[in-house]
Amino acid sequence: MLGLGILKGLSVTLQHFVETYLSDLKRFPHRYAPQGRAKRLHPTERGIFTLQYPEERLEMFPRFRGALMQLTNPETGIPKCTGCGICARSCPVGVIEVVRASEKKGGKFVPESYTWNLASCLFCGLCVESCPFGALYHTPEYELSTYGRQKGELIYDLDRLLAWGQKYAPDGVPPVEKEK
Amino acid sequence: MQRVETGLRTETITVNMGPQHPSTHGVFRMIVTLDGETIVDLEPVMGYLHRCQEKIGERNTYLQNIPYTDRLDYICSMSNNMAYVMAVEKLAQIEVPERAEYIRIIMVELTRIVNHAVAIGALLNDLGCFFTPMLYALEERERILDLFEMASGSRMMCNYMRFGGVRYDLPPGFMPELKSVVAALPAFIDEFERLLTENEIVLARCQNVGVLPPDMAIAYSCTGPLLRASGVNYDIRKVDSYSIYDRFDFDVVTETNCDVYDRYLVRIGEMRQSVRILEQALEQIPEGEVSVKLPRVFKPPEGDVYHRIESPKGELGFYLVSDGGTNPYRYKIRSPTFINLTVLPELCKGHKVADVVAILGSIDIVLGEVDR
Repeated sequence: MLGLGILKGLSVTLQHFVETYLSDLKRFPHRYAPQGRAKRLHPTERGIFTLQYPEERLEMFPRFRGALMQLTNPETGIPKCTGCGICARSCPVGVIEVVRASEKKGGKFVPESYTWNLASCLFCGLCVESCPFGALYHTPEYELSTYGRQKGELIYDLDRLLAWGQKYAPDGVPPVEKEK
Repeated sequence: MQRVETGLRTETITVNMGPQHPSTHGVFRMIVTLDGETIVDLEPVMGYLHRCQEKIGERNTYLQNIPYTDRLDYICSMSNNMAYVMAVEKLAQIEVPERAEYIRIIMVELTRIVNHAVAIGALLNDLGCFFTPMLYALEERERILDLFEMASGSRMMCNYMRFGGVRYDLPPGFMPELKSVVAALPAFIDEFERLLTENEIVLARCQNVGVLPPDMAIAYSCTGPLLRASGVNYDIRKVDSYSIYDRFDFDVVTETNCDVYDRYLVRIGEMRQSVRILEQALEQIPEGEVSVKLPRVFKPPEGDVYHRIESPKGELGFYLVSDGGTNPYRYKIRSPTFINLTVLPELCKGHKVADVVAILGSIDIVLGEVDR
């Protein structure tokens, strides 16, 4: 019969339409609350799984490649970075610039300046992978838009990277290393 | 041009479709010569997204090229990674641990499902069925991209494979999640088929449109679902088996009517076969190492190598020439959609304007890969 295929298809869309409201009813008090999120994102759950973004946010996976951070040694308070520049050389687009300080601090080399140019970063993670001192890691930070591109906005200096290191890895161990 | 039957004098007109046209899947232009609504000639214009990928590849070290391969065909970055990484492994003769091979197969087959779901959704978008099939496809894709993010740290630009293995082992909690996603996939494909396969509008728009005879498909070096929909049993996973595909039991899906509808059927069939491969891989995956230790400054020996894999869109090959240094002397990409696209004028001649978008959608192009 002509039109049977269309009706069959429409039954699928109708089913989806009904399921969306049914699954809303099932978690009635928590439609937009964060408690409902884990359940809503589960693969067996039917219906729409829109995340109400500004109100509720996804928790990023530990391996998520967000903005970079520089770690500080919690015992000495000195940056773990030695300014060796391996990260800068491993970067395919050259967004990292490192200058090593002429004088040692606490018996180790430290960077004098470290800039990361977010504007042309690929977020490929090769810098993090190549760091031999475990000083450079990704944060779960992803809301990185700014209104300008000068220093302090899209161009990150050492202080800002270290501040993020303090925020996301105060004990000197980043989330990705705690995974296991 | 003189219309004999009416005696009226008519002219062909030339229409530019694109580069900013919603059905061209990116910046792609077609110069269409029309006689009324019928297509007399069509000339594809490519290169709007050209970004010197091959020249950049010569500047980068071997490792630095992996994130660039993500950006070729941004829907299936995992299979691009695999093709490039396997080419370099062939050049430097690196052995890959067993577990890493299985992880790669799992990722690549998930990518194939993502690609075909998106391709069918986009095809239906082009046909005018706005976003219902596309969103059902994206819903399933979202779950698979979550798996990619969990394993590699990024949803689309995965950058997960490395020479001699993969970047990290699978994270804790990955396997149960993967199992539930794979278990839910057949139901999703069934539902997709119920929605579309017998739909009379889809049949009317797709059947006998864009017929590509097998000999023409071979003459134009078409590969992938486009070739298999023309009845040619050619899948590189079978004919030139690489990695560990010889351990899995799966069929090559072919159809014989050579039209847009059959390309859709081939994609649905391949999604089912990918689920079969995934189920077998999940049972067989061993424990163990996932990467081999390579020197920090990686220098493969002198020589050249070509390696090809069956990417979701067709034969994806990398040709590398090494002079023994840290970066390739020549880095050439044989991208499937660029070569599949050359057959477009032949497919479109004699059809109506509205069929062009359907035919283009059925070829399944990604401009990042066409223009490189």
